[in-house]
This record gives sequence, C-alpha cells and structure tokens, in this order.
Amino acid sequence: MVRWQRGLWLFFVPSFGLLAVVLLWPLGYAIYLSFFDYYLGSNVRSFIGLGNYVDLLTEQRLWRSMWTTIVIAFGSVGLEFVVGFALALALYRLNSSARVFSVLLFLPHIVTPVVAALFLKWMLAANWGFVDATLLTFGITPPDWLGDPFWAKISVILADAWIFTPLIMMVLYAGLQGLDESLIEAAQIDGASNWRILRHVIIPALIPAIIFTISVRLMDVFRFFDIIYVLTGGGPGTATETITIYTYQLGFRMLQVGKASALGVITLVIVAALLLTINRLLNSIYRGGDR
Amino acid sequence: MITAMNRRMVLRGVAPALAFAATIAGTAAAQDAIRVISHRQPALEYYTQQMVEALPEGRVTTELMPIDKELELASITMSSESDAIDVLYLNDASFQRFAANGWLEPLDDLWEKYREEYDLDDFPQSVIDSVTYDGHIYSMPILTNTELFFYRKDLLEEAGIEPPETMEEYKAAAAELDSARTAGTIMSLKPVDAALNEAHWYMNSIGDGWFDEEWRPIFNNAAGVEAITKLKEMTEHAPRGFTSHANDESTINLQQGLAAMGLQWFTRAAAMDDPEQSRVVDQIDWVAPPGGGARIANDGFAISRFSSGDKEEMFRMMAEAASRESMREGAQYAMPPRLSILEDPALAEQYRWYPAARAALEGGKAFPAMPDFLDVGEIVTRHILRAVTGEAEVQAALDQAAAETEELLASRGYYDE
Amino acid sequence: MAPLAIRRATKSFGGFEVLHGIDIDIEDGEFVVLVGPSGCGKSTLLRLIAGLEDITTGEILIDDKEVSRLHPKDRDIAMVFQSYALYPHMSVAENMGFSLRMRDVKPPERDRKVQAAAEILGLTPLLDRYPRQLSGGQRQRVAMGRAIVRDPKVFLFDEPLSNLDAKLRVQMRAEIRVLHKKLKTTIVYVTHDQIEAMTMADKIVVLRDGHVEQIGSPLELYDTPANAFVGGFIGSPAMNMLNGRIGEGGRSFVTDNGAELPLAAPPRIEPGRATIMGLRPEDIEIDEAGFPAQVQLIEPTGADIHVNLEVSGDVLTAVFHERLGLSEGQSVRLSIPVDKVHFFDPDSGDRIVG
Repeated sequence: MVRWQRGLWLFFVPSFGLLAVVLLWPLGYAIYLSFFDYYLGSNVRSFIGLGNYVDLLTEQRLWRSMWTTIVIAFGSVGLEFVVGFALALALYRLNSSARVFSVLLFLPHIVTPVVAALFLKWMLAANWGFVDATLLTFGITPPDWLGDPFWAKISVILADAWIFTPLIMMVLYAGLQGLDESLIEAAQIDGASNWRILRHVIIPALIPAIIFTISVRLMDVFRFFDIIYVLTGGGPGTATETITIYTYQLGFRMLQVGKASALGVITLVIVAALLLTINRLLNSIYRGGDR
Repeated sequence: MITAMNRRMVLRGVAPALAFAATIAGTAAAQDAIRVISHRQPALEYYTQQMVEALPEGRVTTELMPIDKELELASITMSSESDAIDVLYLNDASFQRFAANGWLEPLDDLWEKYREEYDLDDFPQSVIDSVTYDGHIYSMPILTNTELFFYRKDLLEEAGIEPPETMEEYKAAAAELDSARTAGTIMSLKPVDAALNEAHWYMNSIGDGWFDEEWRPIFNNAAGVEAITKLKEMTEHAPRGFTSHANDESTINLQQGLAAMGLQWFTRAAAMDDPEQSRVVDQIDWVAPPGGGARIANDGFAISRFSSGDKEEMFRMMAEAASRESMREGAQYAMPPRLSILEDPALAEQYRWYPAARAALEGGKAFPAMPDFLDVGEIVTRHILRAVTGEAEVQAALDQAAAETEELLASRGYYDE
Repeated sequence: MAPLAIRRATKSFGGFEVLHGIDIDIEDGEFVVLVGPSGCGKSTLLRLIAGLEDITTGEILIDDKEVSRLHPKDRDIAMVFQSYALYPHMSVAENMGFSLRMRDVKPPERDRKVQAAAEILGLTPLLDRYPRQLSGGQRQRVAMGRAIVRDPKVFLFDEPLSNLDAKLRVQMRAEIRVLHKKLKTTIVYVTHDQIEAMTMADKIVVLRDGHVEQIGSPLELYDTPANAFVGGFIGSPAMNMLNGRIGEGGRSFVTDNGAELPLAAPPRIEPGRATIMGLRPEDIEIDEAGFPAQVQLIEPTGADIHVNLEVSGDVLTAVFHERLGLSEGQSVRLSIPVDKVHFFDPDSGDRIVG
C-alpha cells in the first residue's frame, strides 16, 4: 500500500494534462459544436440546441449509413473470424513449418491499411485492374467490383478481411498453443471425429480468446474509415457509405462542422453501448462458469 | 541541491532545443516559394508551367491533382485561415463559393495597375463578369472550356451513322456501336465534378434545369426524372467502372479505343491526336453536344486572402501566364479568353476541334450562378448514382436529393426574405 | 476384457529409434504394470497400444486382432491420463457420457450406463458438478468412470497417481486394485514408482532405454532379478552392489577394496572371476560372527532404521526392523543369509546363476 502523502496528486498532473489536451478538450469541443449550426465557409455559428441531432436521427441517409455500417461490420468480422480460425487450426496442425507460414500470412497486417487499400484498389480497378485483366483473358466478364453497389460492399468487406484476418489468426493460434493436448487425445479415444473435437473440446477452450477478438474487431470495424475512403469513397452513390464516411462528408466536404460533430457524438454513443454490451456478455459467459 | 541540478538540466536541455528551432526556422524562411495548386488537365499543366517560368527558378512550386481533391484541400486550408496555399485554380462554380466565403484576395487595384502592361482589356466583358463577385475581380481568367461531343468518325462511317444531333440519335448511335471490345459511349459519373457535368447536360437538354428563380430545386420534376432515367439507360453502353470514371479515365477510354463516343472537355481534344498516348490519332472528330445544354466553364487562378507572400508578385506571375503570347501557345489546349486570339481564323485551320467548340459555346450553359452549387452537387450526384446503380428508383432518389438540397440552401440563407 | 500381445514392436521418431523390438504377452484380465526410469519408453509404448502414436514396425493384437493400423476409437480401449484430461466445460455426467454420445447412444441408455459407472466409483452425488469443483482424487475417479463407461477390452493408465499426494496415492492404489477385481478387465498401467508396480501388478514389465529388461510377477522380480539393473530398480532402499570376485575355494567374496565377506555356501562361480554381488538392505543381519563394518549414518523411519555401514571403503545400506540402539561410529559385525545373495556379471549385468 502506498502511503498517501501531501502533494502526491501533483504527479498525476503531467499525464492527466496530456490526456486532457489530446482527448478531453477536443471531445468537449466537439460536443459543444454539435449544438450549433456551423458552416465553415461563412464562419457563422448559430446555436440550435438539439437541432442537429433531430435532423440526423430523422434523416434517411443516416439510417441507411447505419445499416451499411452494420452489414459491412458483421460481414467483415464474420469472414475474418471464420478464415482466421481455420488458418489458426491449420497452423496448429503444421507445427514446425508453421513458423514460416505464419510470418508470410501475417504480412498483409503489417502494411498500413491505406497502402493496402490503394494496392487493392489497383487490383480491383475495372477493366485494367489485375483481377479484371486476368478474368477477361479467360473470357469471363467480371462484375464491376468497385462500381456495383452489391460488389462494392463485398470488395470493402474483403479488403478489411484481407488486412485483419492475420490478427485474428495470431490471437487464436496463441490460444491454441495453450490447449492441453491430452484433452484432444482423450476425445480421440472417446471416438470423436475431428469436427466434434473442434466443437466440444477446442472451441469451448478458446471461448475467452474468441470473444476478445470478435468484440475488439467489431468495435474497430464500426469506426471503419481509411479502407472505404480509399477504395470507394463511400460509393457508388451511398452503397458503401458508413457512419464514419458520412461524418467525413458532412465535416470536410460540406463543411457542416456542427452537424458532423453531432454525428460524431452519436457514433461515440453507439460504440460505447456496443462495448458495454459485449463486456457484460463476456463477463456473464466467462465469469458465470467460474462459480 | 535539487534546485541546482534542475537548473543545470534545464539549461542543458534548452540550448540544443534553441539550436534545433533555429535550424527549422532558417530552413522554413528559405522556403517561402509561391505555392500554386491546380486541377490537373493538359491545359492547366501548360499554364502552371508558364507560371513557373514567369519568375526566377525556385520561386514557384506547383501541385496538380484532380479537381475534387484540389477543392477539398483548398477548402480545408482556407477554412482554417492557413497560409499554406498562395495561388489556386478555380472554375466558375467553385470561384463563386470561395469568393462568397471571403477567402480570396480582391484584385481590382492590381488589375488597374497592370491593365496596360498585360493588355487586360483584351478579355471580353462576359469573361470578366465570370471572375467578378459582388463588384470585385477575384480571379485571373485563364481559359474558357466547353464540353464537346467526341466521336470515332471511322466507326460511325463504317456503320453508316451521321454524327448525332439529338439525344435520341446519340442513344441509338451508342447502342449500335456498343460491342464487347469497345463500349458505345464514355460516361464520367464519378462524384462530384465529373458526375455533375454529365448530369448537367442531361438536365438541361432533356430536363428543365436545376432551379427556378427562387432557387427552389426543380430537378425532380417530370422532365428531370426523365433526364436522369435517360442517363441511367445510357449507362448500359458505358465501359465498366463508369461510376468511378472522371475526365482522366474517360479520356483514356477514348484514346485507347475502349469507347466510341461521348461527352468530354475541349481541353482533352488535343490529347486525341497525341501519338504518344493515343491509339486513335486522326480518327476522332467533334460536334457540339447533341441537344445542347452542356457545360461552359470559365476558369482562372485566384490568390488566397490568407497568403503571407508578396501578392503583387503573384499577380504578375499569373498575368504573365495569361499573356497574349502564352495564350496563343495555349490555344491548342483550351480556348483562350482573349478576343484577339479567338478572332484569329488561323486557329480553326490549325486545330480541328475549334469549329465544334464555337458551336458548343452557343448552345452550352454554365452552372447555376450560386456559390453553393458544388455543395448541392455533393448531394445530387450521390443520389443520382444511387438511381443509376439501381439502389433506388429515379423519382425517389431525386426527391430525396431535392429535399436535402432545399434543407442545405435554407441553412445557407437562400430563402430568407 | 481381452488378451493383448505386442510383437517385435519398434518405434522411431524421425530417424531416432526409441523402442527396440518389444515383445510382451498379456493375458485376458491381467493387471500389467510397465515400469522403468524416465525416458525408458513406457509412456510411448502405452501410446502405441492406444493408437495415439503410430507403430513403426511390429504388431499389436488386442483380442487376437491386429489393431496397429486402427484409429484409437476403433481399438475398443479406454485411457486414463496423468492429467485426467476431463472436459472442463462439461459436468461429471457429461464427461462420463461423452464417448457414448460420440457413438450416438441415446440419452436413456447413456444415463443408465453413466449411473452404473458412477455407482461403482462412488461418484453419484457428484454427477452435476464441474471438474474445477472437484478434488484431485475425485477427478481421478471421474477419469476412471469415463473409461469404465466404455466397457473396453483394455484399460490403459498413464501414471494416473503422479499428481496426487502420498496419502491419497496409497488410498487410490487400493481402490484401483478393488476395481480391477470387480471388473476383471485387462489393465496396462504405466508408472515410474516401483512401489506402485509391486503392490498392484499381476505382472511387471521393466523397461530401460526402449528394451524390455525383465517380465515377471512382482515376487519373481524381487527374488530373482534378471540383471543388475532390475535388481537395483526393484526394492527400496535399492539393492547394494559390490564389485569384487569370488575368493579362494568359494568361501568368501572379496571386494575390490579388499574386504572379505564370508559366504555360507560356495556359489557355482569360478574363484577369481570378476563379479558383482547384490545384497538387499533388508537381508543384512547383525551377527557377532560376521564380517566387520562401521556405522556411518542412522536414519530412523519409526517402523525400521536405515543404517549406512562402511565396509573397507564400500558403503552398504541396511534396514533393520528392531530398535538396536546403534550409534554412529560404532563397530558391528554383519552376515548375509545364504539364499539371499545375488551375483551379476560386471560386463553384461546379467544374473549369474549359482
């Protein structure tokens, strides 16, 4: 126990000061701005109370962007979880050669998301992108990866999965390393097929790691920006416009800083709620077993 | 003991910090070249190069990028009143907005001062009007641009089709020439600038235009819906990826023979005959856009009000680039807004597209003269694309666009009494 | 229950051979213990029988059927692991019923079998508990219950008592013996503890470095170890080994250090031949007419006393059951009964019959 001394709180000041400047002040300013109608071009600020919030919550565009966000979020996380888990299991089986493979498989994650997105954009560009050019030489007419509303969503989901699957793979692989081999052997002797071993032995043992990866990725993906911005810019139309892209449009294209701040606050509330729910879920499943 | 140690440590830290700061400041001071940003197209590449050559070496740096990016960069910079940009390219639509925001330096005095030296009366009144806002000149005119209708005369001749004069003929010709290797027509539907240009044409030739006199949107009326429906139908003959095609991509499509015709800017005409880039040298011909109503633009360069450099020097740089000699040379890329050059008959002989350009000038239409048209464009192009890609019905998409537009303009004070 | 035969089994990992030609015959219902020092290959051999490792060459026959190519689940065996390997997220009942579930046995019959096994092991009140709520001994029983439910031909135990404390170990040893008597199933039991081997086995297989050193009943191994290794391995404290040779006329054994130990009867070994003499600590007697020795160290255990005695440079350990009142440094005289002496060849380690 640290004995409380006078003036001990002074040691908090530098860190707290830094946090306040970098975190609290911009947050507070954004909340403050959200109550104003503030067009950056004319520099005129007029107080409208909850006007921005009302506008946003009754706007079709906002709800559409939320739906798009949900589709892309769950699509991405679902895909990268399944593939990441499969890869982790494969690595687990491989043993010695695993090390080489795991490094190679991890490469997409090391690259900055923006760079990866640019690279993918050139791969997917219509007609002269790598994918299209290859398919066309075989006489297959590919869909418009980035220009068709359905395929644009798929491309964005694939891009996110390409970048973040290695992360999930690594976390689950680490979890698998901690698994007691004799459990699997006992299940083998008990007559369980590989599928059943997976279901009854491996997955239950990995539940904490699984919940962790899924919740972290879900939260991240709700705040998705760079990949979508580079790949499709939210397009075509509004097909891949998530909440964050819409916020960007409002703030930096239309210069409606007040409305953008309000949307930022709404996003914050949503992600916080998501975090709390997942946390509670995690506690009840995990702790609940700890009777 | 502690205080003495602290003092020494502070001093030991301050000295190098000061030296470091001095070096930075020194390098910064030496780096006060004039920073010019511009849209990137052949004419502007030429004119910005003229600016670089107008002043001693190293005095001018230029950055060219697609127009949407350039405007975004300028908006963000100027809204925070930063001096990071000195001179910027603006077309008529963006010019209004920036001038209204008070972001541009008025040029009246400098205009007067250099009127004789650079023969600034050579600009027609309509051009000067287009660079004037609220009674003040804010921009140095640099080019007049019109949309032209490009077409492969060899392919049309082979199919026995006459160059289209109406939108129906255009559709028929595009459908006829649409094949696996070559798309019927280019379409530039990337938001915001390209899509807005393309939609502007349809909205004027088939629809009733964008706004009524009170600035209420009318583009979602029956005629407007038909215009966008026709636009959507035309995309059946467009190369894949058209939702992300801007002027660069469409130009390449024409040059590489990947499309047979379509709407593009005058400034891209010369590129068709450039043997280093084009496979269709001498095979492209031009007429005025069928149905009329395509965009006319007057572009220029303006000085940022927040620039910390020598504004007179910048003005002289721009004036040099806009001089008669420079524009005579630049005539191959864009229509120079100087009377003396426009009336030169040798031009029509030298450049094959000039006759079409003059015809286009007569039938064309500029963007609505309101500062916020580009912001309206942000809204409208998004919704048009939703309609084009099938995510929404045309009427519903346009209605929503109209609603959001009215909301926007109301917030900008357009409907105040 | 079924007989189990291992014929000429070898196992190599990569190019490295760890089991060299193992031959073992186990009868139906026998309790066989595989014992040996660490690294001798006993666990590997057990895993070969289970099918968790692939045999390199040789055969394994369970109930006269060749099983070495079969998957573990098809061999009709059950295994109790050292770490119990209970499924942590399943209750005791679910753990025990898991193998039946894997064979698609319906719940009513499954429950019946689980109940039966639970009764045998006294687990009935614990059926709804989870492994983390059980003590070590209870977990061990659940692991056994899981094996019993399968009604296999052979039970395999992999050092199951190593994780338990000494007292519990003694108790569990008895319980496993009782279980064996009740179920009469063939058991193969691996341990490094020779006391467990001695107390539980019908037959012991002593392994060293991938070879079978000796197979026999506990008393056979105790009374007539086949070589010096087995002699020294079985019995605690370990057998005393003295290097030396038979003296003139076979009347004594002369150690390399010069001590002369008189022999009650001449062995059938030529005098002068280099020999190792083995003496069990419990066979050494105090005898006024015996050879001299000096008390070095006394360790009373309560039930007996272990005494280290120095005989001309060699140190012998002896175990006496009476309270003799010895003190360190005291001189005493010792003798060995005639039939309790063992002789081994120093080069091969093999027992010399005499």
